[in-house]
Amino acid sequence: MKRIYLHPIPVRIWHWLHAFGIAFLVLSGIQIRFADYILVVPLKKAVELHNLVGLIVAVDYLLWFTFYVFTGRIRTYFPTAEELILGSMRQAVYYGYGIFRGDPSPFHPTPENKFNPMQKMAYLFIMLFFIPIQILTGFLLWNIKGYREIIDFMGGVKIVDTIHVLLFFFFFAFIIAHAYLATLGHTPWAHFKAMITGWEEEPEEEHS
Amino acid sequence: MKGQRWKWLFVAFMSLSFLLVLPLHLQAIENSECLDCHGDPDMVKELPSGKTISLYVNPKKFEASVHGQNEIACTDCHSDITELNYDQEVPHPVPVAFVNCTDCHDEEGTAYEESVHAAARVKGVKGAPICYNCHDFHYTKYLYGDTVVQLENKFCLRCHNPNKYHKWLPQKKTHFEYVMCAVCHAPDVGRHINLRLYDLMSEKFLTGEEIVQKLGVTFDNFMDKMDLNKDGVLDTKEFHRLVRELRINKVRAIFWGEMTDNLKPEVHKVTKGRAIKKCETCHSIKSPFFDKVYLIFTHPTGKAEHYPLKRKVLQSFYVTHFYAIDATRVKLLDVIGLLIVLGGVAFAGGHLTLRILTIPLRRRRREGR
Repeated sequence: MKRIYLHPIPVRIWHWLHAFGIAFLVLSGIQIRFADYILVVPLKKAVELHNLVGLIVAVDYLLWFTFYVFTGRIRTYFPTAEELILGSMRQAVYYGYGIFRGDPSPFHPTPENKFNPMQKMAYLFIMLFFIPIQILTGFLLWNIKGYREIIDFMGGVKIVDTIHVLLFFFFFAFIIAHAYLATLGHTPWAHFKAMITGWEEEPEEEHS
Repeated sequence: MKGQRWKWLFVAFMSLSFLLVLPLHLQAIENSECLDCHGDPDMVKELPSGKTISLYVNPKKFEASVHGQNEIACTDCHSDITELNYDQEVPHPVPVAFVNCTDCHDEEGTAYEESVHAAARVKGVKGAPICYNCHDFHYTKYLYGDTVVQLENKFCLRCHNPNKYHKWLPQKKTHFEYVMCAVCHAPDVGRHINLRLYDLMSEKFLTGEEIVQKLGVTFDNFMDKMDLNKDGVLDTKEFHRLVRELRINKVRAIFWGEMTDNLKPEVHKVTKGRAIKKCETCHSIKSPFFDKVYLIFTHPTGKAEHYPLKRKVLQSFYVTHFYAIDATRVKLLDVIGLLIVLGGVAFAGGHLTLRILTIPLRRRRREGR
């Protein structure tokens, strides 16, 4: 078994803070939107906690962004031209067919290039578009009166809310899919363990 | 003959009654007589302390007031003045008796008596308001304001600074902007949503006249033209048609929504400690606070026409600048959201199922069979 140090401590801290933060935001978001049907805590408390955790996630995102930009790691998220089409197709074929036959993964992570082409594209959109948009709309909805001019410019509070809610549903679906995809390591817990210890294990035979 | 006699008796009675009433009518004090003196801007009264107070009543402003427009006489309120004696320096009793508004506005008075304002007055709290502190003496106007803030500036905000309180309230400034104080502070009052057309570019509300002119309708036939199914309420389909008509006629405005209270006597029963503090009371798709929705067109006088709309209009994308969490959420979004989430579940569940079903295949392959 080959061991690769894939996730340094700051990345792991960021990842888990972000994971629990977003999961909490999704759950509290469900309560806020459907307070008629789900009322675990009073609506006021749910809104306050949602705002607080949203702020933590926003700061966490800012730290991640700064760290990745200044260390140059942000390049990890940009697929090459080859990866964009051929690499993605290879990976999609693997996930949709090869994995069921027991074929080896066409991608092998290294500390410099740890995401497969499909992951790169998905995370690029999520980290550079969806999360910033969600943070921005969250801030706008946090103080509607204060940010009214920007909200009006964007088409009104319902439009801003719609963007926030659609992304909230997307993140809900993403957490489910992401957690499932994390079980596709050489054992179901391999990727989870790697994100805790930092060391990814890869079967030697896959390199042959 | 007998019938003829009764007829003459009736005529005589009526004539006598007329003769008796006529002098009384002639003796009634006209507003103009009061304004002969009180219409002089220099008319003041000197208090024992040496201070002076103005006794001037601006005739034009009085005429424009609710009472002036309803031809209320000065002596209808100052009912202790029954005659004017010009032989005296002041031709009426001094001081004049306290005017009791509740003689006419009894329901408002009853509600006020149960309010925190009345309780404070009984306790002798300095500045505790009575009718005219909010409504003014002689220039009582129709309640009119472009926005909740403008209206509240004329009433609650004259004495209260809401920013000093409401620390518990999330987004308090947003609430102050779009929700009238009495919505929470007068729990017995009815509420409704007002939608008005607002031009974001000029930052002005469109007047009713502007709107009806552009639509080619009148205030009176607006509903006839727009309410296609004649149920007295504009539903989402009819509202869509209205929005289209507005666009065709180059009316570029958004719908500005506010939650206001019904201007009924109960609005005077402002209570302490009973204000609504539970967010779910309002922020719920089942909340009755959003049952009544009106499109408002204002007349030049300030009077407003209220055209009823279905609640579902608030849950549509035609109203983009008014939104209350849960209460006006777009249900279509929930359906889309459910599909997105189900997509995630279906992907994970489907892939996992295939992985489980293909275990024998992989095992055989590993074993080289």
